[in-house]
Amino acid sequence: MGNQAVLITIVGMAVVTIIPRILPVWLLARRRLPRLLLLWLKYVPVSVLAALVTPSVLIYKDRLDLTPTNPFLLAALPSLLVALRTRNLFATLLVGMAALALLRHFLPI
Amino acid sequence: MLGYIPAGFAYGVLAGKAGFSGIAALLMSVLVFAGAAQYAAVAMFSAGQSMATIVLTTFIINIRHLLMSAALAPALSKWSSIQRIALALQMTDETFAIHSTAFSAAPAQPGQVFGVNITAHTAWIGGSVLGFVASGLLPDLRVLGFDFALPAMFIALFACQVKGKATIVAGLYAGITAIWLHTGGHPTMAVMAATVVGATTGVFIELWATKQSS
Repeated sequence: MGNQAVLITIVGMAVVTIIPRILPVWLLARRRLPRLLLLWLKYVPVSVLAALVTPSVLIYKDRLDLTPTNPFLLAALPSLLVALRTRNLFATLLVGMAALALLRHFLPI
Repeated sequence: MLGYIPAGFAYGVLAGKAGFSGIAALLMSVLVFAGAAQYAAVAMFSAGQSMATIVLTTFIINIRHLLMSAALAPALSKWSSIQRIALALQMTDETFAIHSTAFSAAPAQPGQVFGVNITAHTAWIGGSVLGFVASGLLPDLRVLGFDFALPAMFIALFACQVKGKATIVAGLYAGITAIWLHTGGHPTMAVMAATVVGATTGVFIELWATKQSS
């Protein structure tokens, strides 16, 4: 792909990313939403994040890997512990990345 | 909010190694500002995928923002349209998680919200630039564990959303659904569908719990 085509693709990516971000907050904020929908929306944050976290940790080399040969799963354990204890993003990142780096250094994975 | 520095760094290194121009790498972080989609896009660009494929995949990966934006909407009824759109432009997994926690405790404060958004976006752009510059020097991202930046960020953000049993069960159902769709060959639909399953589970648990107590 040429340089100009790359830039046009990036603008296209931006447009399709921004539309779903804007539309609900723009159109729904002034509406009175049904109580059940509000209740449902309350559980969106934890669900989105659970849906992002599980594949990123449990899918290794394109398949489900729940064994100790999955370094992402091993690194996730101390990360989760730190995350629940400190609720600190940066500390979790440092511990997780360091854990993975050390695992790779010392284990044949 | 500084979590976006290492995550952005990882993106910058990937973009540099994939042969992106500095302008293109930077522009993506400024305009798109979406971790998982940018990692995927870099891989697709280097695999020679078409413009339509890359844009469509980006749309599918980022469609989850629709639900996140809807979840923030009820707290923003007092805000002007311009303010709400400005907030939504910089809504990512991370800023969304921070805002939804803040809004559940106190009314939405524009100053605080835009402070979070601008800091997170600056960290993402700064991390991207540093990663891009360092990409020529680093042999492999994996040695320093930078490929764990995004999973670690998701873990931290997930931990912040765990408040009581209903959220844990909702998260469990969402997680299982996401894994099931991933292994079943539908990874692009996984987050959206799993969110619907998780949130619906949460509603059922809460309704059931209220019935028990009344």
